[in-house]
Amino acid sequence: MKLKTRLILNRAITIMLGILIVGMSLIKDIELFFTMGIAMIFCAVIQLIKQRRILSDPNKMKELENMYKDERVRFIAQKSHSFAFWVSVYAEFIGILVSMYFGLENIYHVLNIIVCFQILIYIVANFYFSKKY
Amino acid sequence: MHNRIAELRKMQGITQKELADQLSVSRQTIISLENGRYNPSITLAYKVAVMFGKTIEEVFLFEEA
Repeated sequence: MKLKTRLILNRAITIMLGILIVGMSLIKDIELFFTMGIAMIFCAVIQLIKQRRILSDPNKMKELENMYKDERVRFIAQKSHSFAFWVSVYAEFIGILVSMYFGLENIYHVLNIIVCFQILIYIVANFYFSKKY
Repeated sequence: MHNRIAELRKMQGITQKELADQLSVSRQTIISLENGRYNPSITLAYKVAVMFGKTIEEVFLFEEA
């Protein structure tokens, strides 16, 4: 996918998610989600306006494309994603232990499901990529 | 892995930015390559070697740990 398309698509998805969250907050009458949704839409629109200048400048686009295609940048992103995943899993596990200790059943059930789902996705992805590569 | 990128670049009188532009990478990548902090993929290593008119073995010095 071309970089220009990807940048615009990312912003469009953020705006759609923002609209969805605003819609849900109006249905369920939750003020916090309404604010979050509006903030997401606002930030995405600002990013789109900022990017318009970059997208119309061929030199800046070339620089940005080189940055996205740069193998060191992609290597660092992959390492960061991997690190963030494992830190999240361990943090959720600690959350499970703490919520169990304080008897917060709902929280540890939800965290349990999330951790199991994450580990399952990891196992499936690992299997898939082992076969592919 | 040690390499001779900095040495060869200076011999040819080009800056890190110019080298980065020719290889379609960022200047930070060139800096990391020259410092030995980052080992390039075979594709990038090949492009670097071709740029300097050398073989990969003449640019990158592999040493057993």
